[in-house]
Amino acid sequence: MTKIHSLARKKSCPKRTLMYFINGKRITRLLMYLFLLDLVFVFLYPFLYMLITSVKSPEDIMDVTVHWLVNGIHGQNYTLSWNVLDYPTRLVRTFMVVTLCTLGHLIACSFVGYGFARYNFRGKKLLFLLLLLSIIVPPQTIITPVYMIFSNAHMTGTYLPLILPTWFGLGLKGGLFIFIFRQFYLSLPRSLEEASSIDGCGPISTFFRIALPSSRSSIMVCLVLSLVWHWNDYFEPTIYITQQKDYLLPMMLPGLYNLMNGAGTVTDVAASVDLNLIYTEAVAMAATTLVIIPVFILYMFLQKQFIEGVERSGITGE
Amino acid sequence: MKMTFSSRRRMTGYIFIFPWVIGALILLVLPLAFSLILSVSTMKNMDFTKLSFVGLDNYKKAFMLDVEFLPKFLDAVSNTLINTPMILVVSLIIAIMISRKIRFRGFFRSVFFLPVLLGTGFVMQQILGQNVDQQAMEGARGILLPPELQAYIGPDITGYVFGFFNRITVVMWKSGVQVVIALAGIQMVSPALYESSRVDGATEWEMFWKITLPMMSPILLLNTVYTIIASLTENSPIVDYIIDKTFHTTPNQYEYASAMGWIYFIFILLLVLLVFLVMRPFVNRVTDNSL
Repeated sequence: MTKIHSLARKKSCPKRTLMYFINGKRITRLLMYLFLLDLVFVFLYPFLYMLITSVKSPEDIMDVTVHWLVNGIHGQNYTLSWNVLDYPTRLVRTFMVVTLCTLGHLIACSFVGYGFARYNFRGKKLLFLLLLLSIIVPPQTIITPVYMIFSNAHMTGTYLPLILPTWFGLGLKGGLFIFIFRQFYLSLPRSLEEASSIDGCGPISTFFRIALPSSRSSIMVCLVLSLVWHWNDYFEPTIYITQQKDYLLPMMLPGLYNLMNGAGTVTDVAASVDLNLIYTEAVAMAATTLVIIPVFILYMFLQKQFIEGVERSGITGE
Repeated sequence: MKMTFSSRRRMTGYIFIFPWVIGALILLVLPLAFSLILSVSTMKNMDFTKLSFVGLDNYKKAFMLDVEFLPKFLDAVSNTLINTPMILVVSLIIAIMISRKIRFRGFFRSVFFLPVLLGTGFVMQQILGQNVDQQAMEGARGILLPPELQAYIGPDITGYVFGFFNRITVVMWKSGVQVVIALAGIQMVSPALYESSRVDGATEWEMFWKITLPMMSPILLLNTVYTIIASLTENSPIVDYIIDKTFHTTPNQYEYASAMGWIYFIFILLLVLLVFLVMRPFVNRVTDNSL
């Protein structure tokens, strides 16, 4: 009895030799963790750099040996950039503009994507090609005529050229969102919609009551993408918004950076700027941090649903 | 009005598409046509109604007369061509690694998207200008190529290796969206395939090449096209140059800028078509609808 027992024990508990560790999955796992950690460091590096630089005092900036260990937190950089950016007003304004743009994208792109997915109509293939074209055409090619259209409509100088196209499914990468929604709706089973139409729901009702709520994952994906892209968009706003007082948050950054690089005068940047204070790269970095923080916070809240949304949204299905 | 069922469905379809079609006609098709016309004409005294046809003069100017256009254009193109495969590979590797069951999975998954929050344009340029990409890799450079080894190999090769490190860093920062897309693609592959192949004795390596990669081919195509378009339309010297000529030089050279814009557009179009044609035969058409 005991002999059999001890034999069985020997077979089921292998010796933890060195070869066990190397041939087994443990060391590969360890290496993978190390590798991932390395990658995380590289990905986080710009942010760390931004944060550290933004609290450096001017002496620290000049001091080449000071890299990560700063001599105290120079909070003035932040108060300085707060004032130069006119943060509270601009933050609210940027937030409103970006929200309107994102809302337009979500509603319009889901609407149009639904149409592409569910209905067959003459010229559908051609229109789909047009959709792909809208993704491929670089904005620079058509910027001149588009600007002329908007200036003829007396919309330049306002935020309308940014917001209006999104409500039609165009705008910043709008075609991509239509595509994403289309892929999702293609994978949605029709039974729900058929059931609702039997119950007397018209097509538009069906869309708003059934299709749209179930596309939650696609909504999350497009929400985050549209939000982030619009917040950081620098190209179109600088073309349409001419008055500095109307500038959105990210548009203030180039002026600050130029200041730091020695180009441009202080009055280019903001009206209310104290000429006596020193503008170093730390101030520029502080300003950048201030500009990015709202998006960062939002992303932290939404990221779980965003990643899961990509996996479920079916962009990957045919 | 008496309509058949199918024609009523068609009308509904039109209603859904309608707002977008109107918008696309006004803001896409019309401007495209107009900028094409602009690019083959010259204006008199900034008056858009007095256009005279000059044929391909503007295009010739871009290629032969303008010293700045071609280098910047080729620069952007070479950047794209080098970066795109790297972005694809890197995003695939990262996506595979974080799709496994590891601890802190949620943390890793959100970290990789972070550089996208920085924006691709101005902020990135500034940060790169400060050689942050070099600093990020400093540790790795110290380990892989200690100064003694550097001196031994010589400055040229060292330069190449460091250049590679810098580029890899930037590539990683640019691959946020692609990682997310690739992750979605990996999750779509049915685990049953992996299990059955494991029973048949396949190694991880074989499983990757024979199962993961083929099943993900539509995603890879999507990633490739997206990367090409994104990398060519983000803020870069050539893009700034076109915008410069449009808005910031006086007198505004609208015709010339339109010609450059069209060159850029045609190039992107051809590249995307090329990628499509090359990858189409390899793209897997099997979709697992049984899930």
